Amino acid sequence: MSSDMLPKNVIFFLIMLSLLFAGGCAELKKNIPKAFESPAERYTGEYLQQGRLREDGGDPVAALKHYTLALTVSPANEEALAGRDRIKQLLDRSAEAHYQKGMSLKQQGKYGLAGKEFLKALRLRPEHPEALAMLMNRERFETKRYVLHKIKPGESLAMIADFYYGDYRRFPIIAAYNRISDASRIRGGKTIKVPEIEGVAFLARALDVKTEAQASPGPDLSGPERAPRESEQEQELEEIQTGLERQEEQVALYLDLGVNLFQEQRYQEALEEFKKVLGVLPDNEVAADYLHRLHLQLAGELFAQKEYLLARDQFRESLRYNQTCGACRDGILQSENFYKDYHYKMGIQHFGNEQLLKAVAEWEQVMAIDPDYKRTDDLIKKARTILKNMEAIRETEKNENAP
Amino acid sequence: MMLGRKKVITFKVSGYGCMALWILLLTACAPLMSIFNRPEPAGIKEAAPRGRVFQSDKYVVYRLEGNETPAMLAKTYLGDPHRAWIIEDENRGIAFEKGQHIVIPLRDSKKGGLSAEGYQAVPILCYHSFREKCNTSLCFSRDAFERQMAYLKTHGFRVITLGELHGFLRYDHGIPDKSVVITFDDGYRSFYEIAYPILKKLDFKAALFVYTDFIGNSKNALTWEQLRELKADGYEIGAHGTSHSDLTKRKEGESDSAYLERINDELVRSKAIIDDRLGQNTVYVAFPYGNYNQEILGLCEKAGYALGLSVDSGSNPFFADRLTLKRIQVLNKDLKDFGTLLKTFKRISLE
Repeated sequence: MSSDMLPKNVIFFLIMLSLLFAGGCAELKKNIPKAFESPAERYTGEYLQQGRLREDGGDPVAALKHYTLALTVSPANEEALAGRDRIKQLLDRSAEAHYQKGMSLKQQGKYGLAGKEFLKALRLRPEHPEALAMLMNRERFETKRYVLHKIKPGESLAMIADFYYGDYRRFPIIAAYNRISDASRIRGGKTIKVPEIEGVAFLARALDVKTEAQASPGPDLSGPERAPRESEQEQELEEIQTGLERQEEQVALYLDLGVNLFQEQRYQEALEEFKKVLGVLPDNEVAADYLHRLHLQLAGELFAQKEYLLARDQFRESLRYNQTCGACRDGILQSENFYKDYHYKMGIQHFGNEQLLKAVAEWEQVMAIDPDYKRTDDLIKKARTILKNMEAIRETEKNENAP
Repeated sequence: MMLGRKKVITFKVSGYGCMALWILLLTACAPLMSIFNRPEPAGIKEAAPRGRVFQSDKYVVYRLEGNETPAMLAKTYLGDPHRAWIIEDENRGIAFEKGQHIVIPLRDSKKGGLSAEGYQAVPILCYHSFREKCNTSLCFSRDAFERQMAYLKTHGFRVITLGELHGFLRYDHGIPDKSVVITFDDGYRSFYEIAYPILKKLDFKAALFVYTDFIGNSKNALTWEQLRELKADGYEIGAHGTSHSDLTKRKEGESDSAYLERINDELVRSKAIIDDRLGQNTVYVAFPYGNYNQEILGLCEKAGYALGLSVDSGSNPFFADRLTLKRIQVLNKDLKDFGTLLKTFKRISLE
């Protein structure tokens, strides 16, 4: 073995060993079970992968979340730090662009579409104060009258605002009053309401136009319709119920409930429901008819219980809802007569039993509703005279017996 | 000698080789070794629930040990077990089992309920009276009401209070997915007798809107004592006027000032009575018949009402007008299609 051979052998040996080791080590590394991987490493890897995927897929909000999660696990991870900063800048820029687009649409009177842009801005940057203000702030107008205006072909809200307010820039007021989500797309032939607003000059007074007091319920003046719209067609489809329709629906529901309770002879409960109906629609004949029948029924029950005055009041109520009710008039008379007769006789009975105070109390009840009834006043006088005389006799006896 | 020297040299070389090999091994496998001997990241800590935790100011990434519940984790990390819904909503579709990792958002990421697909909206259900059996639109039988409430429970709807809705409408905080509010109008005693036990069983809270002339003055009405009991149980009591008259309706020949005075009285006095009787600041009002106009809204603001409820049908996104909130008047005829009334999300592309 020459001296030259030794290093060569050693070098060869070392190379072989290195290769063997490197191969073995790599294999070892490859085969290490996942369980040996630290959770931090695994989670960071997963979140980074998700971040990249979402970023590439055009979902920066989700990407930001995943980079932030990666940083939660590995606060110094450079890829996550860079990704987070990159996405944050992108989101700020995009949010601002949507906000500006929204403002532009709003100025054009396209409130529904503007609202959608403000929502986009807020989704990208949840603390965008201006976009939030655009969606949340509401100004309430004081209004008492409006003019009905039929839109002429080619007429715009700005022209109408100019005509009534002398200022075309007031068109958002009309849009708000009529809940128009796109002031630039109004149909000729449609009738809208132009409100007189507190503090805004209204030329309708000077013009020969018909104005009406604000109908009730009044329209929503809390601002233009800002519910974001995909299209104007959707707006047409989603047109809200008018106040009048809503009112009629409510009344119908209470009426329905009242009728049902009436049929179940739950008169007192039914009464409360019918009164709600008449509270809104005083001329509702169905409710009035039921109230008439209901009071008549209650009157009959009270009459049978000898509660004559209460029965009379129910007959009166019944008559109020049906002026032609003969039974009601008869019932009122009968109730009073029975009442008077009953208490008159009760008075006589007490008088006969020498219970003069009770007798007077009964007759006074008769007098309260009919002072001329069977000379009841004479009977009261008579009873009071006797009482007075008896008192005098008692007084005399008391004095005589005194020592 | 020569051989001996050669051997020495060979051993020396082999020795150096071995050392070099060892150094190589240490170097090559350093990353591998670090797996077994790595210090934990700065954010790591052991929590009351025993899982492994990574925490930043925005999130907690939590590796489950298997016995944790969302309520337990909410108590530890969000300070309130009732906020478990935050954890549930964030980790929808993830099984709570050992080894699984979940995310707990520490900052409110659901304000406004916005997503690329649309925005959250809250249906407010409106009921009136109940009887054991009845079939009118406004009146519900025990059975029908029970089925509707069970539907909410089994289909994952979360019943929130008006107070929670108010926070959502102010953009203060998020609310659970599929949130709904339940309300009852007028103050019928049948609420207490029929609806209340059903709600209690399901742990649902609700709001009652009562008109003050009715309360305690009719055998069909709730009493103030019952309202106090309900309030103590977490139910909210709102105003519904004093006489249940339509606030938008002028009486015949009534002047502007007389009308305003009357509706102001309805709004202010009913609030004052409820405030006094229940010892609260009443900030919710439901308009009788759902009707309102601008005068009424102005007076409501002045009177101190924060939320006004109509019966305009629909759900309420965070940017809804807080004084004219929509409500779904649930009618008996809606029983079959109850689910379709509950629109808790408005689909609209916000990409």
